[in-house]
Amino acid sequence: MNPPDDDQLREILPRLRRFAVSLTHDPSDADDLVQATMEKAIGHWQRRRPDGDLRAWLFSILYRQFLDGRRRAGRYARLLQLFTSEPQTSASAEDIVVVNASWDAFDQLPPEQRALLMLVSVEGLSYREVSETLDIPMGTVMSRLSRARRSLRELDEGESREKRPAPSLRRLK
Amino acid sequence: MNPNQPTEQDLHAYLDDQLDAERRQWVAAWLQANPERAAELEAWRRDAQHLRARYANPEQWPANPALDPAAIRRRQRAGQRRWLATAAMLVMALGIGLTGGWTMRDMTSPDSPPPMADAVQAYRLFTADVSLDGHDAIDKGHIVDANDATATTAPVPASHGREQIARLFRAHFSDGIMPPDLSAAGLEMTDARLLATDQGPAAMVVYRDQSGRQMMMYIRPPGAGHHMLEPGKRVDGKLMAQYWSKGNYNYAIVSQPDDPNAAMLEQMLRES
Repeated sequence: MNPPDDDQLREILPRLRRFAVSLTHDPSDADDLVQATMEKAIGHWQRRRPDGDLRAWLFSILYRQFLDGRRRAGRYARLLQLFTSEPQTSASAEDIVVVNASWDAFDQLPPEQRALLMLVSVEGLSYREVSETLDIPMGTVMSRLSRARRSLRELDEGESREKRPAPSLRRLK
Repeated sequence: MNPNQPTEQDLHAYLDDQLDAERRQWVAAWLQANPERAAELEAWRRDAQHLRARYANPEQWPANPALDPAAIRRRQRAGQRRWLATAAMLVMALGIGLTGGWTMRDMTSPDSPPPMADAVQAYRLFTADVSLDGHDAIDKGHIVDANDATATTAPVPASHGREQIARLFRAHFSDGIMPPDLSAAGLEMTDARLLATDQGPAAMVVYRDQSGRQMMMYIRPPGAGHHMLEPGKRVDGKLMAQYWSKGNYNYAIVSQPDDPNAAMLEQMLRES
């Protein structure tokens, strides 16, 4: 097996950060996720299918790490809830600094749908690649894609009706 | 499913440009005739563009050097080194623990006194105060000190001759070295005793030169665990003990440190 090619990895790095931000909403959480992904990728380089697409492989590692992290966080939140009897909410979308514009409708989608839309619409992966990356059957890719696009429309129209606030400076962390 | 109407899947695939040319043309034509679905599709297309614009140019985001593959690799190597160092430390700690435990065992076990300390003690007991109390060694030997841990038999008076001593050695130290006859050098055997140790019989033979100076040859079985002695010497108070192992026995010569006869005796014993 070839050792990981650092230049190849460097080239994909911005896309990984972007995918991570779309999932976590928080740039520093996103970079933690990317770092964990890179560590796994470099450590498990020989498990990569040699003919497979490097980008799709890295996205799939990142997505799995994200889901694992959320499961752990979920357990932690439930545990906290036992003590505080207050549900812990996720970080505010206000913390996003790197993305260009506010779009609450998209941020309100469940992460599974956000991941799908990012991979299809932004990264331009084929449905087949998306199915492998997210580890879901093709049928689920299609039904989830349909649900995601319809939900986004509904949320966006609701947002417009509520009179969107004037664009303001985003808080930088 | 109506074959004259594209499925939902077709519409998404059309939008995402994942249809073959023929099917794409067919969907496009159908959309012309169905403006309502075309408008819906157009809204989805705008959403996709919106999303692409929102996440455009991630390569222009502030760089995070910690994410560079080289940095990750460096940290992983450092982590590996840390792991190895930790493992090495554990192994070392285990080693220290074992060695320490062994040393402690040596230090705390009854066999811990310096080599051939019993020889020095025997010498002290049976020779040192001879001149003080005025008795000669042979008489003193008849007194059995009940407080002494090592029982002693009655001394074999040297006057009874070498023959008796030789018999004693043959009986108890069959392949040991006999105490040599040093009378040619002016040394008399003045005392010979059989002593008991944990490991079996020991014996001491005292020589006295013409000026009254005494030295002692001592033979005993090796210590616990058949521990053989590295040859050595040490000064213990006003006495010097030289010791070594040979065959199945440990030997010692206890004398005054400046007694030249001790060196002669040692050489004779070690060469025989």
